[in-house]
Amino acid sequence: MKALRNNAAVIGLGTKITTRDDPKINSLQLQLAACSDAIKDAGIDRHQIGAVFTCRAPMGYTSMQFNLRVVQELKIVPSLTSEITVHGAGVLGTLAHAAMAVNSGVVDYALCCSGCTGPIWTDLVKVNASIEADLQFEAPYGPTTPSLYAQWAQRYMYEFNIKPEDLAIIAVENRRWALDHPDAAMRSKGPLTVEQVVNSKMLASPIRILDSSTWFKGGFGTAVIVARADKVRPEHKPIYISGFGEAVTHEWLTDRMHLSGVEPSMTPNLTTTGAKIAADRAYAMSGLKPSDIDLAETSVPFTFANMMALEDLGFCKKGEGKDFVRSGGISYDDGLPFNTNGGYLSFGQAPHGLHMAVEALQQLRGEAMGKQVKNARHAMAHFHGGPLASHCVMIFSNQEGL
Amino acid sequence: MDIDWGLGVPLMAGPYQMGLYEPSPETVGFWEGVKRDQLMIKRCSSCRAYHHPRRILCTHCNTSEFDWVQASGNGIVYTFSTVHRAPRPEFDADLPYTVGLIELEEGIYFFSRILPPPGKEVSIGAQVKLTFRETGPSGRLPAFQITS
Repeated sequence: MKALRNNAAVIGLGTKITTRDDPKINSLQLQLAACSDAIKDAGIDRHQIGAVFTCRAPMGYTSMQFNLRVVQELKIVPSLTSEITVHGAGVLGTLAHAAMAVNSGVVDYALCCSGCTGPIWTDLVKVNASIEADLQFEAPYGPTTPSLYAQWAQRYMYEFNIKPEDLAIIAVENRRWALDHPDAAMRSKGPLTVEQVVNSKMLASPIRILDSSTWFKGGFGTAVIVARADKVRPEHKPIYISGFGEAVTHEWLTDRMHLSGVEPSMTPNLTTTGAKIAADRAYAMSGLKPSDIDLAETSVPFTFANMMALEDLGFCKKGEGKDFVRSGGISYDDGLPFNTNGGYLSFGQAPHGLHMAVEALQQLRGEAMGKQVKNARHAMAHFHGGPLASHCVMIFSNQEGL
Repeated sequence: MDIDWGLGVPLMAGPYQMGLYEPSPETVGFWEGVKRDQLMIKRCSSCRAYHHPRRILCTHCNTSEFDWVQASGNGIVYTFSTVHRAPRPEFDADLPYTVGLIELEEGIYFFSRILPPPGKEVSIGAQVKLTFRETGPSGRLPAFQITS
């Protein structure tokens, strides 16, 4: 795995945001707009792209092989292309596959793209409930997406005696970062207090509406060009991929309880996620440890899952997340910079969006749109697919040699 | 909502069929049991381990032959959530309702509705007993009544 350490870099980044106020575009248009910018940013010819990776087809644009739609529009002939279908983790998984593809020598440059304008076209609350549950054995009982995650939350709070007030701190700190970011969905709502969170409307016990992610105001398209290290030029502002890891424990919640492995991520429980395995692998590949990480971004959509992620990603021990958070571990002022655009709770959840990794990349380039983390060298991004089923963790670095 | 999961569900784009969602001959024994008000689970024909009705491979001995057996219907609440906002209007009449994972006596976990006695709360570890209930638009399904 060490052979992959810092041997691939992001050399081109393109983003496209569209909101309900803009002319209506679909998810394919959104992604191609981002691709166009990423290719320009990398300064390469379109035909030098050897590999194209997308995540699975966007919820707002269901098609049988979405990656081929992208390839067909780009009018290039990749020697390697695939949808990376590990649920929501696949958006970051594309970069892991890109790093492996360029390091294998099969291709020199890989394009990864993602993004969905679903919130503009369809009722994603309804769609989401259908894709997060087993249609035969769970959906007939009427679970919502929050109620499926709440199964973890209830058990986690029970086993570790976590109070709603402990979890609320995460929503409050996320909101502080969002107030600095021009694109954050909740920026105009102003600061948040613990009291507001714990008294907000109950969606699915123990999850309240302010414990939950909010939908981003539209679509967030991203495209990234990944190159092998020997193709990097100084003008690229390269961000190196120092380490990555992936772990999938289940597709449906019920199946999470039927694992029969030995590690905490593999035994039947609802307190440890596959993020633990993914992060351990990313650390091992990078040679870095949690204390080397200058900022961390996660795509988990509820306060409890953020606390669980802080544990599984190694920033504190299992069961100590509440103490970590209560003692200022993720304080906006002097804690670990965590969800530095406001996160899913306050920046918003853009379906199939790579926005949390974009935030990490912009921070490391020194181009943060919100508050810039000073002297940031290493950033961690964690993407997950629900309900806490699939996980991809990546460590980025603006340092060439590790 | 009457879906025959044994035959699967056509996925349509207008008049065009794009595929067939999940035809499931492996779960027919479960749905036949539901019609008789019985909760049927799988038991490995070889090592006799119990499994969720969905399983295709025995994860203990890697064989794929199962017998259908009737679950005792006894278990405990492993975790739960009370839903205050339904996923679709067809479930609104049931609000608020509790969904959760039951740890069955046989050692498998089953997602279901959990029915507390009037005026009581659902709690982790509470003992439950199988019953059958009309459930939103989904028809008569297994559910679990709290007994402790």
